[in-house]
Amino acid sequence: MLDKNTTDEREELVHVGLVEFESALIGYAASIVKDEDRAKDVVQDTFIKLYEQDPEKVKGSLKAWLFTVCRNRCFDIIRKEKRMINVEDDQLTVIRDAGDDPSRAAERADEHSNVIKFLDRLPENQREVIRLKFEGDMSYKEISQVTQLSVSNVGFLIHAGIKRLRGLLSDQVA
Amino acid sequence: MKIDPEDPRLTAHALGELDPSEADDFEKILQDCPEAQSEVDAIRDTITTIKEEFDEAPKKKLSEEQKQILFSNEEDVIVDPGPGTFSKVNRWLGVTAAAACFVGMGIVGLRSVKQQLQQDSDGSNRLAYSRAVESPGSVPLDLNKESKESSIKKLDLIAKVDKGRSIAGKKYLAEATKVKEESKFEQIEQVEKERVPSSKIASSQSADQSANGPFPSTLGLSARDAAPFQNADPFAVAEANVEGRASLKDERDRNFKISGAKKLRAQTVASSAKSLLDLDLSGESLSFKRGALNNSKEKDGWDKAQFRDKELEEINREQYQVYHDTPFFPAIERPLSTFAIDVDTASYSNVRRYIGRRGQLPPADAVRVEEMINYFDYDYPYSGDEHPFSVHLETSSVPWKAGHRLVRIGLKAKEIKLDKRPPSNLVFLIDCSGSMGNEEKLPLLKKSLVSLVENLTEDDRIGIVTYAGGAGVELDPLHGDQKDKIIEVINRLRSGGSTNGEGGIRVAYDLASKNYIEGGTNRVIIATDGDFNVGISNSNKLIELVKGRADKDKIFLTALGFGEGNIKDARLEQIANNGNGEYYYIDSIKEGRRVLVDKMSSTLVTVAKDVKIQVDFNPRKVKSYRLIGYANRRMKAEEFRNDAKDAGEIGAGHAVTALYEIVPAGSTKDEGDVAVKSKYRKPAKKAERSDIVESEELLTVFLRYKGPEADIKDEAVEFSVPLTDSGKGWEGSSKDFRFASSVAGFGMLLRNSKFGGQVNYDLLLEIASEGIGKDKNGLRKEFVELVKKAKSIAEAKSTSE
Repeated sequence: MLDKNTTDEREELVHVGLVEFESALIGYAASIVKDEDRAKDVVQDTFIKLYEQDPEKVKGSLKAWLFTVCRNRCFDIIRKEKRMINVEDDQLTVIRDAGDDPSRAAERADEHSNVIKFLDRLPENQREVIRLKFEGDMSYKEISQVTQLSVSNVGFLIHAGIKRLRGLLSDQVA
Repeated sequence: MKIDPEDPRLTAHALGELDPSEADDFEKILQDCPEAQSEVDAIRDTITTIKEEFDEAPKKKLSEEQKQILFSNEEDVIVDPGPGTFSKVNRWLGVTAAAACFVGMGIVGLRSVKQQLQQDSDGSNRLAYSRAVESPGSVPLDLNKESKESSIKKLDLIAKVDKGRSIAGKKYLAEATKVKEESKFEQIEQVEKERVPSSKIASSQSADQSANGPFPSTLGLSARDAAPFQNADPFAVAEANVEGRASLKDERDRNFKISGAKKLRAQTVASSAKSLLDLDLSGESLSFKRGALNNSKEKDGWDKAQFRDKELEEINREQYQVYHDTPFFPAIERPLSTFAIDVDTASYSNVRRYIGRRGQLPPADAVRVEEMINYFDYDYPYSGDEHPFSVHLETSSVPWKAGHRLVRIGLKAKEIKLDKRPPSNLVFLIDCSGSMGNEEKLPLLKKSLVSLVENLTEDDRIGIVTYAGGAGVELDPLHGDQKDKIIEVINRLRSGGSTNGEGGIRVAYDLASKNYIEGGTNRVIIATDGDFNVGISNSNKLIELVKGRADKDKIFLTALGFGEGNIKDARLEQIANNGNGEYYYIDSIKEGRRVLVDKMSSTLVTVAKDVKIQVDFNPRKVKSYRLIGYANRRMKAEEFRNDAKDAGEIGAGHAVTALYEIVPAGSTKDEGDVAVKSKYRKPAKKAERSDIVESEELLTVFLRYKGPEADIKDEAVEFSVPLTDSGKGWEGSSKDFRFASSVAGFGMLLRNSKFGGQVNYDLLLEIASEGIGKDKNGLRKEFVELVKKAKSIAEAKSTSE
């Protein structure tokens, strides 16, 4: 049975999670599912799941927990979508329509400053770790927990990603 | 000491990620190496820029509606708030219920339910619940109302049902819940289920199937053990809930194919919040908890948890699409089976890499049976010249299932001798990102390319475009006789390099169309280990582009996959499909030569496109049938004669093989009943003799194709070949037949297919050895070795477990 204490603790945990990571989680999810509305649904789901957890168990690693669950949910969605694309061409239209809505595109462009825009040109794995590093403000170790990559692999990807971003930025200045 | 600018410690240092002792050492090295120091400074600058931009970027927020579900507020509470605890969890559980109980009224009904659990001071639970039915679309309101009222009545009824029964084993219940609450909800669910339209059932079934699909036994447990939040089990707990939501979304998307879907989403959430105000039902003393819902989902939840673990491992490495084996269909109900041909062979070389090099059994979803079968050459003769390919049918018994018949459909395209092949205009689009540096990737590609170039003539043209961060033309197309120059450029390719420009794939297509050879082979060949930062980030746009260039410009696309650890298998296959090309996985220099040199004419010269096969089964002879493999190539029957519908291409000399397993008419086995077990359908009518044409034929194969230059508007050519079963037993079957069935059996075994019958390694070894035949290139012998190795891996695994 829920007792008052755990309920309050849960609520607090969700609250803290939202305050701290809401934006970063949405940004991260959007970079995977490529659509901000869907990303928000994912993040909502993530917090819903958080409610179910024993606060004691999650507290210590809230950030990594949130990003891990969020990430899994993102890939869930992508997997579902892929399946639909192959199964029914009609579904393709739905997805395409949603993504190509010009007003949405404009909105997205406004939100993105240069570096964030350039992130899209990085390979998926580099983009992901860089978002986790800077948007999620995570340590290599936390990133390694979330992505299941080794710490040294994370280090390598971040190094390579930053290098490329640097190149893109300087090309732009020149 | 010199520090390589590629040394990741530079960045780790700038980010303060080095261990203190490591940092000290590194600091010393930096003092002696001013270049490295300035590199660190530059990295720091970039880091600052990145941080600033992320800080300045507008904060993203969930919508108020979304947050409302997460948090309680005053207006949510309608009935007698009273003293006691209020559970947030149940707030969103309401959403779960809405999804789980989703009722498609008419076509579009969308309803949301929101329920709250409240506790009285005396400890007994009361439910304040309300529900709203909203009609966002074209559903007549009164229909909605009616459904709404009836559903409410039903709920009321249930509410009055005695409390009592207990349900055991709520493995994933978040909280210990009172048993009586659960029994209530179980009954509600019962009612909800009854009202769910059959379409919904179908969709939820397919969702479940995907989650329960066969998983590789080599993966999973280890990832699970390594999962950082094992105790909390974050993946399993809320599964039922999230699945419910997802299927709600799926359903909705299906109903609203227009962009209205988004609006709808907002409405769903809004309505779930609003519902509490709209409808105030007197609080029956009923409460529910998701426990019961969870209970019914329990097995799924567990399977999904496993899936998640497997997925966790896969995500970081290689991505495969989930495939489902095609089931048996009853011929009387579904006499037509339609699919597009597939000449890809990537799956086999990938399976070979897993077993041969890594000593592991491959993940089930990496195994596409038809690609394994089609990897091998079969001795079907090409006869006649009316059509660009001929058809060879053979029937014998099924080695893994007594009493069943196996039908082989073999297509053989006409051969074009290498020296008679039309001139080629090839543009390679090569992934030079850092990950391609591995020995099995770019260096292997370069060697394969050099072999290809050695076989080009002055009529051919070859160009090279690379992409990494940007894209660049490395080689403006040269004629095939300028071998030295071309090879020099190939040797110069380095991973990690990036040039200016964007849209590598566009550049490649533009080069190919600029050098278009009328009547020749015009191709873009993309070589990658899976990263598609080709300048188009939206994956659907990429597919559109590839498809558009194939349809309009007649430039086809071939995909070559390389390397381990990152391969986006499904994606490469999908892109090649849409580009009217093939997907090959290059795991060795031998395979590189096979694809680019030995099979160059079949790889590159298309003799027919949009090749579709439709098999018409005679119910008098066939009880039910199953297409082996081609799971993602199946088409609807009506698409067979829809010439705008894209299908598979066949190259010169290619052999394509498809196998059907048939349960003969009169068999008492029940495989054919799969499709008719629905409570909403009457059992299949007994075949009425008068409805069935008198014919001794087993089946007829219809084929439809277009010439390689045909347009989407052009009409396809159709012909058909009937087959009468001679009743030939295994001893009369050809070597090719035996070999193909052993490959199919191997695929089913690796997929853990439930249709595998008696298939086992020893059986496979036996029939594969019988089927080796001439084996000109030694590939069949290699297959036998591979099966042996798989056998020993499987045995080692089962003894260790």
